[in-house]
Amino acid sequence: MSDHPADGLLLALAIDDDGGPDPAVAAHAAACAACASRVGAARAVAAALRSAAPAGRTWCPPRELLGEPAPSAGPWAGGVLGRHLAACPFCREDARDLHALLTPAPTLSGALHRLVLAVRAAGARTLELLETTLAPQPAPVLVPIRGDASAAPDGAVVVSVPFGAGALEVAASATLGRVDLRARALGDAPGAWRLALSAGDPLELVESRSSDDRGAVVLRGLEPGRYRLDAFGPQRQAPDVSIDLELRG
Amino acid sequence: MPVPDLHDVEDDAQDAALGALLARAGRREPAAEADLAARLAPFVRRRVEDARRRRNWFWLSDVDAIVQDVLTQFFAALRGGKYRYEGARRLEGFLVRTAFYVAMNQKDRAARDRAVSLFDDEEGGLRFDVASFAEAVPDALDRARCLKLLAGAVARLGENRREVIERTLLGQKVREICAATGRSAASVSGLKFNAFVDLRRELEACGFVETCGALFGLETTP
Repeated sequence: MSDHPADGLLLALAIDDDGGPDPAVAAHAAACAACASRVGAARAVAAALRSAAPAGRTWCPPRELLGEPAPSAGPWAGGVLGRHLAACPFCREDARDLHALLTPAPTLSGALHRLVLAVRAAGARTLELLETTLAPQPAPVLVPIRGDASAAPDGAVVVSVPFGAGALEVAASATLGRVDLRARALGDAPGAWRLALSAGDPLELVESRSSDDRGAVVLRGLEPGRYRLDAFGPQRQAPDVSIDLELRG
Repeated sequence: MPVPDLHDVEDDAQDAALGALLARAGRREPAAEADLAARLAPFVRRRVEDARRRRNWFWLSDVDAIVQDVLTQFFAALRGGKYRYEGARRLEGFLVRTAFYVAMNQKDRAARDRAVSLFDDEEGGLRFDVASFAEAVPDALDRARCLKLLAGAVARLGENRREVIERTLLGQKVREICAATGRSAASVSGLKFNAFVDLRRELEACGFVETCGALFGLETTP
């Protein structure tokens, strides 16, 4: 077994990313030439990457060039601007933002617009009246989700529960007797979270998955039946969301 | 003749009325400035709110502040003779571009703590490739050749280490890489550390450290 700290722990000495290094790891690196050399190499590369990072926008053209015809002279002439816009995710986002400002969504004009506004306002008042006359529903203990072969590919939203400062939306769709389950964090819910799906009595873990770039977890081909879905925010040991589901094929 | 909203200028008479209003505002007549602001503010607000909704500008919490900034800059340009009225459409374009710069400044301030995904949600597929990015930098920039050397060194890494370097270049922290890849924090931290160590060797081998080290904050001795 190695006496050196794990590489992941040495990373904290090289970059200021996740809360600072462990003092014991720092003490080891100060005394160990091999680890000190590797940490030094990593630290140097981290500095170079910060300097080279597209996020710093030091490689990007002035925003005044976006949305304009390509310049005929200068460093951004000759197709360079176009190639950069194709390769730089930050400039592409800026260009899309500019396009959204330049091209507003179509609007209704005159009497038709006023009519739509009046109908919408009347509808909102009606819904408000209904909400104030309805008794609050008790929170369901078991929430059934029925799969439907004719549903849209994304499935119907059956339940949306509070998750952190936002919500967790759970939807399901059935295909050939199996069920695909999709859970997605919305609004100010934790962007990075973990899902645990359990079944049986006593409960046993069926699936454990971390969310993707979009804050979603998709589980495909589940057997119909009853499950417990737990959602964990970052660094959480106890679930922030715990709901019982019945998936039907 | 009542002065119509910016979008309602459809004939020469209305256009002339708007031009006259701008001329009076340029001479700092208070009533004209107030009238003009009352006409321009709703237009700018609509465009910014519409863009915010369509582009999910979650970093923009105060639309009124943007509108106020835009009008401040517009009136400064008008009074300083830097803006000349050439029709309602051109005026719209000027206001929209000014709103763009103001909004992007606010996005830049918020972007310090934001990372960008490796994949493009709108067009699909990989949105960032360091080699393509390096090739698209103008040769006239001093550091362009250095960026190409760096990109070549990254390309020679193994697939997993290359990906973690590219995600790091996009500003992703370890926890964000964990969320995106489904790997554990220990796995990503270890992968990232070894990617940095390997990259240092590659940068030394290709001459980047010697020729570009100072420009990029990379010491010549490990």
